[in-house]
Amino acid sequence: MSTAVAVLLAVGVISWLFRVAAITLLPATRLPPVARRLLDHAVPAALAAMVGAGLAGGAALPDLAPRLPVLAGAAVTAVLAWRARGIVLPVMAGLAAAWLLSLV
Amino acid sequence: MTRSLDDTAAAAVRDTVPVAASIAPLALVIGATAARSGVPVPADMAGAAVIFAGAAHLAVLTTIGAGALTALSAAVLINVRLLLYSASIEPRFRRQPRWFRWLGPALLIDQTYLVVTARDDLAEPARFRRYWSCAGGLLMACWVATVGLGSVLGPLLPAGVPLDAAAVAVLVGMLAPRVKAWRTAAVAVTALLVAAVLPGGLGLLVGIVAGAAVGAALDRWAS
Repeated sequence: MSTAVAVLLAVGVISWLFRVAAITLLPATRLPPVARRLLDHAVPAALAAMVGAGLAGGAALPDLAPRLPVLAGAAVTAVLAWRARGIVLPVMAGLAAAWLLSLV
Repeated sequence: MTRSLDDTAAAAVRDTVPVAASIAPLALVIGATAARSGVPVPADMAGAAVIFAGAAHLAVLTTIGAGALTALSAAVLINVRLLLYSASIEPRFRRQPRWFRWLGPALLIDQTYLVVTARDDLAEPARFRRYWSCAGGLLMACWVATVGLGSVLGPLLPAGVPLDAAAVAVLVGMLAPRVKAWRTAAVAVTALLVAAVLPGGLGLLVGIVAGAAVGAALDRWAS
């Protein structure tokens, strides 16, 4: 697990560089509009890709049956989080759905 | 001035406590996921402090199996938004002392950015510095402590508890509120499907690139 720890620390250092970049190092306001738009899209794309990878459970073209609790939890969370403010209740509801389905 | 700065500190605490409560579930999931992955509690708490961003931290823990480069790339792409926050909040740091311009941004995350940009009474540098330090410091302390609590409680959970479902639910909870426009929906659907269909780390990276590329193409088409 030393690899995971090393990656965690590396991400921390890079994140700090992002944080100070436009304040102390270089004016990010001068980034071209295309670059700013790509940065805008990077966040939802990264989150969605992680959701996709999590739903698949690390396997290509997964057999959906064992993943039903995860899928159900994600669906419940998505519907509630899309309509509500905050993520606490949607996540708790999604977890409850996943847990209940895993008992079946 | 002292009394005024004390009031500023109190306001920062008042604004931050509900925010800290709202991110506690994510911190618990991160701690429990790290414990199940065999990451030592002190190392995960140190990671929580230096990364200080839940989605990126969770990305490392859930994708490390696909390789260090994949995990690093996913987390960095998620945190690249900090660059935009940094640019946006730069005027507030312009009149700050040099040490604060280097150390203060370490507390910059979605929540501190949103909380501080919602206030219009922080134009005076000392007042901003006090508010930022109190709000960000308190939030970081709560965050690291809750991640540690999750690390301790994680191994005590029964084996049947679907932690992978918890991690996915938290990510969905963060993604869904962003998907209000059809263009963002197209980005998200593309990235999700590509990442789900392609294997492991390759799917994750190609999914992110494909989603962002679709977004950029739609931007160009619309303009």
